[in-house]
Amino acid sequence: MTEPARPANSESARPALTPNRRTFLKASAAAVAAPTIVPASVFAKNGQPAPSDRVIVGSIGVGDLGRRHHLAGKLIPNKRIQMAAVCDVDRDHRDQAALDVLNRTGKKVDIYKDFRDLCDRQDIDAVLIATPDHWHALTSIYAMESGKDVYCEKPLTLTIDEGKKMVEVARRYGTIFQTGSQQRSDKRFRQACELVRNGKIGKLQTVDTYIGDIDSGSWQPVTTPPANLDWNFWLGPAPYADYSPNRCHYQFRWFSDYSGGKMTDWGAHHNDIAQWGIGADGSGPVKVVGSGEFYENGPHDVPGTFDVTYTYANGVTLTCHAKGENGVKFTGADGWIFVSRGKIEASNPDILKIELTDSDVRLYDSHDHHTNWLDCIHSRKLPICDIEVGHRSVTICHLGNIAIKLGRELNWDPAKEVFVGDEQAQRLCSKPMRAPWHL
Amino acid sequence: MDNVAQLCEQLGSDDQTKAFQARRGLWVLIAAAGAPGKESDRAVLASALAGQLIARNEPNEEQKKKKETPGFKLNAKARNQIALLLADVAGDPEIPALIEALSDFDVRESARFALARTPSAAATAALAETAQKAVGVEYRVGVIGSLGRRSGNIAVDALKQVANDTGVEVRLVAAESLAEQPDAAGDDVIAKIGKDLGATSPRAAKRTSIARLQLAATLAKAGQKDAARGIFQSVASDGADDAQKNAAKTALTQLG
Repeated sequence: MTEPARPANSESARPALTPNRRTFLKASAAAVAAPTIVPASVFAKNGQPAPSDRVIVGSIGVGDLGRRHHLAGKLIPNKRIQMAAVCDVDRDHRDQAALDVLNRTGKKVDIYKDFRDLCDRQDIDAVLIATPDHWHALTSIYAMESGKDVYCEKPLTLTIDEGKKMVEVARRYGTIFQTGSQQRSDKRFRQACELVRNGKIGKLQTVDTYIGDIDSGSWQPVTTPPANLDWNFWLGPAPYADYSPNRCHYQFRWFSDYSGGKMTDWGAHHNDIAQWGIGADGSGPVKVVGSGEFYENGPHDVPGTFDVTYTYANGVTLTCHAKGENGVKFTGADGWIFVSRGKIEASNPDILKIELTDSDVRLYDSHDHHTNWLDCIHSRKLPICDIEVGHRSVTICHLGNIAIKLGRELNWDPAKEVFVGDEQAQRLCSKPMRAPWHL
Repeated sequence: MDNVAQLCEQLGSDDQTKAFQARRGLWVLIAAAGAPGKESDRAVLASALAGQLIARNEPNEEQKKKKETPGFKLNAKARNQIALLLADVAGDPEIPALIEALSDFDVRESARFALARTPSAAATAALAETAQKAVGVEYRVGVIGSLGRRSGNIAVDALKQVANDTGVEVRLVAAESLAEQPDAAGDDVIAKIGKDLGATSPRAAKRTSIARLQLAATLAKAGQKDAARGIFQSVASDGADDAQKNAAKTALTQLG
């Protein structure tokens, strides 16, 4: 048995996907080539993928994660990818990224500061977005509207409303959209979720995720932004703030104008796995209540520590903790499974030796997140962490942050994606954007 | 509400820690007052914040003589933070103060944030009027973007007005905002903007095609399927780029 189709997400329910530039070229080449024997060299050489099979990629946001992890670690070495362009509002980042491509491939790529210039290029098939979180929605939406397939880092959004809009746009444009919650492509997490979904620990009762806490940070004097950085562009839709180094690269995660703190940074991984194990992709909890500690003296204004409990309509509860051993623990009537990166344990080790049968629920099997994205760009099928999955998982995190912030129990309608009976909580589902940006 | 006045003043402190503490302190009050059933607390708190937002010093003798308006009691930093805090608690009674803040250049963008988040007809009307009358392209673009998230005739009429503006970006954002409204007549307006601007700007042409698709999707969602179909057909056959044409064709298949 395969994983039950998600109503909004199932491949059968999904609209026929439109061909993009790459699939169109491939089809055209095939049509032209059909009557004659085409030399293999035209399409493939020395074991390399044929040019028409290579995905031409632009990389938006090439700071530490975008450059080291994605570009250097995943994109450049991949023979199925041809890098065409890099983009960043930090000149040093974009130039260094272009240099990396040149050094590794011998090819020059185009360099952009403005993501719209990159997206406007007709020859680029897909983009990888690893900007700060407050830019994910705007860059993704413009890329999708430009006909690009997208891989976007987690956490997918800054607000719930951004995610709703992104899902709409992705469906409209038939975008292959992979959310960068790559634990779904890790065999341990899949094994844990499959065992849970098939009742191997009995009826699921609780899920606990442990995602880490943060410190208070320290104030730095405001200063002139470095010459290599377009600070106004970096801020983009966020409220204006004077520059200080610890608001910017990497550290932005701990400022609510740009991110949701640890709750979204790691919650987008472990709460995503919780959703998978519960079987709640495309849905979510009906109640959320949480408490957390904020640092009274700043500068970090996201919760430092927290415990948030979500109740699903089937009675399962998910509790997201800041403190505790990093990982996800599923507890059922007959046992438990704990899974983290590099480790899976169970109340009884025999649980982990259970081999699933054909009649069991089997979850989407992906062994590498980027490879899965590329496969799906070719097949036009949903990737393992499709945009709806990513949106719903980060929604869990946003709900948690809102519940902590408001300090009261909130009722959530996962079908309509609105709070029930709490107007103030509903306001927190969106954030106005600083001009000229808007959703 | 003495505590509120004190915290509001502290928001403007040059000491970053003190300013942060004040913001956090006010937020705790706002969250508590925003709970269902606490409407009277909320009204008192919102009113106090709004009062601080526009509070002015007592006029001195010179100002009295010249009938000059005295300066604000709180500095711009504090007023900005108050406006942003009002975004989470303001109601109809606070709209006049927020409107007044819209003419305060130091604060108007934050006041616009507050209006954008306040779900009331009065807030929509304020955004509509500001979209048409305010000075400054970038500022107006922000207001128009916020107006696009509202609904109703007041919003639609204002968006159609600004769609005829002389500012290129104002017109484009008006098109994108009209696309969020379930008003089929918006298509002619958007198409005209595309025609006017598209010849010299490929990106403007693209943005208006995207907006037309968004409008069609908005209409389809609102049950106006025939109108949606017409727009999708038009985009599928006009000079839009491949991404828009393909999306339009897919949408037509889905609409049936």
